[in-house]
Order: sequence, then structure tokens, then C-alpha cells
Amino acid sequence: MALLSLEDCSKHFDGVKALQGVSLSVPERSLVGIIGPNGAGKTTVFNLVTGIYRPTSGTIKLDGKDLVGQPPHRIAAAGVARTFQNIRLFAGLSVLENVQTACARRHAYGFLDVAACLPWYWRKERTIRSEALDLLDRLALGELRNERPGNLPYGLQRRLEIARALALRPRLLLLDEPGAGLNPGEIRELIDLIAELAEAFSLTVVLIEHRMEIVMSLCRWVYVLDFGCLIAQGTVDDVRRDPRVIGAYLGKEYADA
Amino acid sequence: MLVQQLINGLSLGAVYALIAVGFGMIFNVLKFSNFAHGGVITVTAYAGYYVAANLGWSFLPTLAVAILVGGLLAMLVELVGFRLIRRRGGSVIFYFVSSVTIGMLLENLMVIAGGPTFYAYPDMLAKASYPVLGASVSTVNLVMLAASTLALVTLTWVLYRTRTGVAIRAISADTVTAGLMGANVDTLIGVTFFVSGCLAGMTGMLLGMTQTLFPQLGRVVVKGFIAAVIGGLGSLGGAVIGGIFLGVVEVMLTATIGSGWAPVLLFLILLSFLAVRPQGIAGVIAQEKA
Repeated sequence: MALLSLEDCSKHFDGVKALQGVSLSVPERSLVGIIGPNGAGKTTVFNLVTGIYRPTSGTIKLDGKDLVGQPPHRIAAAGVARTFQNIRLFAGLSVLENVQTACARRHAYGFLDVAACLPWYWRKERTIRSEALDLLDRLALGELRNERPGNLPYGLQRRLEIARALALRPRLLLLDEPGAGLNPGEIRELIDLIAELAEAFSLTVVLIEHRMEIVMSLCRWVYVLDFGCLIAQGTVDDVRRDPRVIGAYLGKEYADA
Repeated sequence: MLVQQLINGLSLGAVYALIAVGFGMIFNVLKFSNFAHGGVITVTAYAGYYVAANLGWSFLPTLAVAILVGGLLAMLVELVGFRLIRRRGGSVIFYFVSSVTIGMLLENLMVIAGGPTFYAYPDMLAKASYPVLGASVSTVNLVMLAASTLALVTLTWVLYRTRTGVAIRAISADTVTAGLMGANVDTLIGVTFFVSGCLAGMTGMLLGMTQTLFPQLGRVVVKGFIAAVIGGLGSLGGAVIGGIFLGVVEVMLTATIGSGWAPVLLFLILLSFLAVRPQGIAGVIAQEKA
């Protein structure tokens, strides 16, 4: 049974067809990759799944439940968390507070709780803090909890984004180019980290990546997008031999040169 | 005499700080200058007057009414004036125009309700003045100082020590990402407007008590705006500093060069701030969202 399934999804921005009739299926507890040249529509897939955009047509289902038209915070509550290609940590907040924001949704609060400062409000407050600290420790960020995210080296900022996403206790984790800007040593650490977290938190992971090293080490199944269309899918070895995939990447290289 | 002026200046500054903070909270979250805040101030001042003069309520219950009316009205303003614009991802100028329109609408509703006449709040405080360090300071000013300080301390505590506060700050930093991390953006923006409206309620009643009550009372929001700019738009700490600074300078200027020239000099101070240090005292400028 697929945890996430997209069927015939399209997204048009005025005249631009960012995605055209893309279908994909992500089995529970699998690690799936999405690759493709820049502008292929990879991040658009994440934006549709997380509710930032509504698909022009098509359906998106999480564990059989329709996600289309739901606001982002509901989709997050349903178990979808993500990171971003360009790191989007909350600048004015400390490392700990960044993680706390994502813990908060599991401890639902209403307007009255806030206005009346009811006792359980403070109890939850302590729970949130300790949960966030546990996660930071787990990702070896505990000692940096009072730092501002902007003061952290790039690799740690990426890791903090993963910590924040995990604080939602997701079933599905979407990683948007987690390896971008990392050096080879950090890449190896990242691969181990993702594998370890996926196991420990029973995660289903979809990752967008250019670094073939990461995709090859982690993903059993890969989807290839080009100009908003799904041009291939299969195991890493399959897609690497696929002439259309080679064409898509080579074509881009020629265009760049 | 100096002590008295200083305390009067601090009291006025505390109210400016209340306005600047109420104004700044909305600026932080939605990145526009909310001039509807002045309309809310006016309405709460009238609401407070109504229960104090017509129903004979005492100071604290009246203040509670003003605060609650302000909070609820601000939420209504958000719902009617800003939510649709936000849903459609409208540009900042639409929010701005909408807020000015609502401010004028509320002001004119008060003209209809109370006429263009001036009113004076009944005396609600037991003593008119208290001796402080050898000077006689009016009770209203002391209450203004105490109430504003309490409100600002509470607000700071909520923003930095509760998950709601952290979520509101997260929304200020990045609304879209906050939503993706599970924050209910609509509710939290509602809460932000409620809190901002509560501050407007305090402001309205305190100003109504110290000055006379008239429909244009809320135009004092411009002073709060100036305070926010001097302090550094987007920084709540800066808003407080800017408010206090403005209040003290205004009272001192009024005492020395008179109430005619004082505003002129105040605006010149603002202009020089914009020219020399546009980022304000606190030194941060909240950027428009990319």
C-alpha cells in the first residue's frame, strides 16, 4: 500500500506548465528519490504535497486520504514534514525555538487556552521544551540550543532543518536537496544520518537530490522529471542507463556550456 | 518640576510605546503599517466612556471592557479587512489602503455615535494626584505608566516564553514555513490582532482619561508610528524605546518651547532619524518577504 500517491498531477502557473500529468507512488517505509535537471518541477511536487500550491488537476493522497485543498498546517498534522532547498529556518528564533515551533502542533491549543493561561497550558509548555531538547541531542545539536540559526555553519543548519521537520513526528519526510552545499565528508555523514533516522522514526522518505552519491546510497526507487514531465522511473541502475535521462542531463550541460 | 515633567513624559511615552508595540506586532506578522489601529483606539475610548459615564463602572472594570472591545474589534478588522487579501496573496499596498479605510470608517462611526462633541471621562480615581520625590504627579499619569509597563512586560513574556509566542515569532520570520511546521496561521494571526487590539483598548481608555474624548483621538496612532520608526520598525524592544523617547522629548519640548512648536520639532527629529539612521535605534529593518 502506497503511503503517498500522486495521480495525474498537473500544476500550471498562468501559461507555464510546471508539472504535467505526473503520477508517483511511494510505498510505506521506503526511500524514494526524485531527480532531474533544474526547473524540472521537483520542488513543485513537494509544494503540491505540502499544500503550498493546489494542483491544477489530479489527486494527491496520503494513506488513502485526499490532501488536495487542505491548508499546510493540516497536512503537517496528517504527518507530512519537509525541508527546503534554500534553508528556511526562522531567523529571529533560537535553535531550540525553531524546533519547538514544530513540536507545538501535537499539543493543540485553542484561543481560550492562551487567553486564560490555563494550567495545562504550562504543562504542555514544559513537554514541548523537553521534546525539542531530546531531538536536538539526538542530532548532536543540543549544545547549540541557544544559538541563532544564522550563526551555525551551513551543514548544521541543514541538520537543524531536519530536526525541526522531525519534531512534527511525521510519517512522510520530504527532503529538498539535503546535500546541497555540503562537502564530501558531510555528505557521508548525511547519508548515514538519513538512513539512521528513517529506521529510528519509521519514516518514509522522498528526497530531491542532484548528488548521485546520495541517491545511489539511499534510494531503492527513483523518479526522473524533466520539463514538468515524468520521463523515467526505476532503480538507480535502470534510470542511469535510460537514454532519455542521459539526454535530459546532457542536454542541460550543453545548454549551460 | 523636572521630576514631574519627567514622569509625565515617561507616562506619555509609555502610551506611545503601547501604540508602537500594538502597531509593530501587526507590522512584524503581515509587513504593513496598520493604520486601522487608530480607529480601534477611538472606538475603545468611546466604549470605555460609555460604561464609565452611563453605567457608572469603576476604573478596573472599565479598563477590562476597553481591552476586550479592542481585542475583539481588532479580530473583526482582520477578518473583514485583511483575511481575503492574505488568501489571495495581495501586495502590501492593499493591506495599507484597507487599514487606512477601516481607520476612517471607525472614526466616522464614532462621529455618528457620539457626534463631533468633546466628552470628558468621569473621575474614576480616588485621588487626583500623588506626591513623588517632592513633585505632585497626577494619578492618571502614574496609572498610565504602571498599566503600560505591566502590559509590555506581560507581552514580552508571552512572546518569548510560550509556544504561542514562539509561533507568532515564527510567523513573523516566515509565514509559509510556519504553516508547514504545523502552525495554524489563521488562528495565530487572529491572536496577534487580538493582542494588538487589547493594547489599543488600553491606549484608548488611558488617552480618553488624560485628554478629552473626540472622534479624532485615534489619530495619535501617527505618534506611535513615529515611535516605531525611531525605535526601528519590526523590533518590539525598539518600539518601547522609541515610544518612551518620543514621550519624554514631547513633554520636555512642550514645557520649554510650547505646544505650538513642539510637534514641529518632533517631526524634524523624525525626519533626521530617517535621514541619518533609517534602521532606527534598534537597528533592524524587517524586510519584505521574498
